[in-house]
Amino acid sequence: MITWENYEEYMMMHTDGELSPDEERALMAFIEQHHELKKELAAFDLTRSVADNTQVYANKEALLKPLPAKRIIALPTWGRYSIAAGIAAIIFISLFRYQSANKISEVAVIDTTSHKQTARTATPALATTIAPVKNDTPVSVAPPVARAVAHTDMKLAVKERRNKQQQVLQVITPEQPVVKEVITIRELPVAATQKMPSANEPVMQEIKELPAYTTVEVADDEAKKRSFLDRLPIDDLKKQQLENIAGSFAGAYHDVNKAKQDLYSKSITIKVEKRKLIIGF
Amino acid sequence: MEVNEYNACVKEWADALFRFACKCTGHSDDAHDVVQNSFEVLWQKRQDVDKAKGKAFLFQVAYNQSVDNFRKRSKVSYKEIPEESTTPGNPDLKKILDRALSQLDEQARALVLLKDYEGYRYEEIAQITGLTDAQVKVYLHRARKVLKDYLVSVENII
Repeated sequence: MITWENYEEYMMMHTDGELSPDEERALMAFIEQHHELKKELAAFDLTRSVADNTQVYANKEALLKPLPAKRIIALPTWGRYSIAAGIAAIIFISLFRYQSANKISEVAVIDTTSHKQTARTATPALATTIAPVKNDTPVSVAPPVARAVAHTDMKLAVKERRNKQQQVLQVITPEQPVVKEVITIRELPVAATQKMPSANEPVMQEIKELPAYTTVEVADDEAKKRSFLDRLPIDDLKKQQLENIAGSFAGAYHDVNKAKQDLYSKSITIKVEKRKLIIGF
Repeated sequence: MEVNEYNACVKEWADALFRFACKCTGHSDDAHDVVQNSFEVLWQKRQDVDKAKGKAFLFQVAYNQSVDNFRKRSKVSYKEIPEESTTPGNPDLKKILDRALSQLDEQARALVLLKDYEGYRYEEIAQITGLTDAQVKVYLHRARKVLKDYLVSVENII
């Protein structure tokens, strides 16, 4: 509230421009009531100074500071950029493929106990279908995967695989769950993605994840062979001959084994008058 | 504050600072020195001062230097005698107001100039001068009253 005691303070604040709109209206109303204060308010307004804008600092340029010199960097041509991008892309793709290759290791296992064929793969993404298998169809074994993966779980898997190196795969039909064929797995089977021979209709198989493993044992066997031959106290020529003999023997063994398998799939039928005698092996 | 921002401050505030320094010191040469020193201090402290606060920083330095100049001059007991004569019949109000300003002490004159020339509010003037808001208000009102009384007395003479 503006009174005779504080009106002067309000006038000076009015000159300073510090009054709120409400205070300004209150001051004007107070002055309207007391016309003798109008002259005093005008005198306060006269004390407000106005800057002379024609007065300028003459030596302004001397105060300015030079800007730091800009570094000009010549941009290389687009050709250089494209070459660099190409090299980077090649390196990236190579690394990606290398890493992907190290991760892939597949195993196909046929589970005979549950009358189902089960494909176990190291990577679930590689799981696929396996064709149905006939009774007399031998299990095809794919070539080993010759890759090494340095992983603890994988090493354990390899160790387990060595212990089960003589694992038997049994192929059983639903009608006749009898073991018809036994195959000794000496090498790591792969090719979960390969169809089994004699496929009539595709069957989705239960897929279980198996830790990736390697076929390091293959390389180890080779190394053992080499070291065994190397340790023999004979010259290189005899070693070579011995190796040839061993290879021939292995081939003969393979042939015999194959004939044996073929024999299992054969049967002898003898007809005596109206009776038929079937001898199976 | 970068170099280009400092240069922008020079272009934007050198004139206003010079006018303020002229009124505070009363001498153009002193005003030149004040402006030059103020910008030199700003250049040295540019890493610590934002561009937004550059103007207040400049006026703070100029105010302090003007007060120092006034104190040195007081020791020499130099005092400018105001002109009492006015043009008969057609008094120039601006000159009268300048003479009225010269009656004020350095601090009160600086407060009036910061308020009227630059339009700072009480709290901003307090930051520049290092006074409190209440001190600024009281000192400024005292200066207004002196100026008003001087103008009224001159008007009565006329």
